[in-house]
Amino acid sequence: MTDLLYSEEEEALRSAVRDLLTDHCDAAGVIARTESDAPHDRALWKALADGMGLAGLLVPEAHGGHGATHREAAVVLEELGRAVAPVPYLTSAVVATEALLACEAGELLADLASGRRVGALAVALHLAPGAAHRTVRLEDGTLHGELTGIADAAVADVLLVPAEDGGLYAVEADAVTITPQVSLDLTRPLATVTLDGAAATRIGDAGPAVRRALRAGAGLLASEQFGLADWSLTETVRYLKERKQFNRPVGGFQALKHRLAQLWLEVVNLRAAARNAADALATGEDVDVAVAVAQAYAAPVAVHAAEEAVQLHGGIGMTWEHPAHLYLKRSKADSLAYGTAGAHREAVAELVGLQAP
Amino acid sequence: MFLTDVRIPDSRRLGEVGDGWRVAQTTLNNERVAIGGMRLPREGGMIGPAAATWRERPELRTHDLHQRLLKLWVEAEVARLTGERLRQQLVAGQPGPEGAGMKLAFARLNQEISGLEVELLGEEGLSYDDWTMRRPELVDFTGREAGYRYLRSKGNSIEGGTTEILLNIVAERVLGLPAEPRTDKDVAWKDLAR
Ligand SMILES: Cc1cc2nc3c(=O)[nH]c(=O)nc-3n(C[C@H](O)[C@H](O)[C@H](O)COP(=O)(O)OP(=O)(O)OC[C@H]3O[C@@H](n4cnc5c(N)ncnc54)[C@H](O)[C@@H]3O)c2cc1C
Repeated sequence: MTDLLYSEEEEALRSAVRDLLTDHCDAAGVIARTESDAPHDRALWKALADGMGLAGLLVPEAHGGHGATHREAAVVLEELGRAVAPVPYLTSAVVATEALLACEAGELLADLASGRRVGALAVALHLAPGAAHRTVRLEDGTLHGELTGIADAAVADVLLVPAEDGGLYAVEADAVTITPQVSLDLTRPLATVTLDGAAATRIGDAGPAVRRALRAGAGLLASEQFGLADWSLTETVRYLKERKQFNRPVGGFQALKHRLAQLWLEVVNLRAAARNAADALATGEDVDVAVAVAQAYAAPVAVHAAEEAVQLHGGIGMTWEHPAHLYLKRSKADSLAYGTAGAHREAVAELVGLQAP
Repeated sequence: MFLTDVRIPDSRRLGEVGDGWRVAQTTLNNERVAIGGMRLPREGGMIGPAAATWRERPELRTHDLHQRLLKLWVEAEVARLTGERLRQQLVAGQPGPEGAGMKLAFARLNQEISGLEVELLGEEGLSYDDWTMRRPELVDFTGREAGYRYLRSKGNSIEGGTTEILLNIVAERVLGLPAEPRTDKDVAWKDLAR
């Protein structure tokens, strides 16, 4: 049976990541960064990837990684979600890494595992595993075309680009033009990648690699969404115990107590669904259903939690200075990332034989 | 229930004197965990018969029902996983507060799933299997038809503590929010508004 708990080692990993984020990723800093030209926190990424070795969790030791599993990566993502940390962990250490694992691209894997280089899969962020994605033209061994909606491309050193011949190509970032898009979620910004005769190395077949990468991305995104939702709930409960109106703590009004209790129930459910997806990815059993169920459930919960955080903070929750908007934007963007809840419900229908009319 | 001149020996006392409310709470809480925390295989609860009807009766399918069925199927599967996680915590000796929530989820899902099933059945949903009054049997959630399940599951959010009271309990005991304002403390029961 699936192990839905956290091991002692996983809890130790969580504390280490949380300590780092407490010291180096406060909300004011994240907000300030979103107002600059460099929304990503490269110093934090270096500390996580280089310092703690977390970029290599999914990579076997033979390729310079840690040979850990999706369970540990999920714990890291829970904490990164809780802090809406602007680092390319999900996109590089999970999604791009999974594509490279599928292609057995040893050298690049070692680069990404060390965290010294960042990779990005050049597939639009909103696409679900198995959805059709755009490709670029291959002419005389170079790539031509434009790909939009590529998350974290702005900090990528290498892009993994699907071409029309069905191949997945590794392209150095300095061989292409990367134009930031104005994104809903400034903590995981999108960019347009323009290839105009970019030199490229074929590393494998795009079909299975992209599918595997997006499936892992979707499954582990649920852990990030759990982290976001857990922050929203915890912070809102804390605030409502302190905030007083009508000579009472606002959190004592039953209308709000019931809403928060309902939200707690959703968050508790989300943790079980996210743990189940991470464990399934780690063991390889029942992966498709576990991932689709987790994504069908996670997105509405994370969005609901962030929306409640904004509403129940009242006016202060609408301000730029209060971090609630970071969680709202990330969770709303996450509700599209790697497929909407609706797309994953349709996947469930196929997988468990509940066919559409 | 009326108790008149009933003498109960001290050997039948549960817990310490003055600790009766905690004992009663423990029992009630165990009842809730028992109601909501049965170990089930996938599709083991009320979603099972609804999914079976969907698979066996393609002529009943509509797009609206499909969307709603899928949403409930996912929620039922997630509630099952939460129950499983709760059991794993108990086995590992780390009981969590999730038990209080299981019954809430169970009640709502049973009601929504059985309500959907009645609609799915179309013309048949307007029939009822049997109105013969009997002495209370064992509760049989899946042995009878959808109409029975729909009506019986209405009790799920009342029996064993109403959903409203359970939400208060979660808000206060789990989230630590302030208790409801009360005017009944330190007032003898005979003097309470009734
Ligand atoms: C099918 C079924 C089986 C049952 N089996 C048993 C059994 O085996 N043993 C047993 O002892 N009892 C049993 N009961 C009784 C059940 O426990 C009570 O009906 C239940 O606890 C609610 O109490 P009440 O009926 O007095 O409702 P009331 O307390 O009068 O509540 C009326 C309404 O007000 C709401 N309400 C009450 N107080 C608050 C508050 N503070 N804040 C917000 N809302 C509030 C309630 O949620 C409810 O909606 C059963 C009930 C049903 C329906």
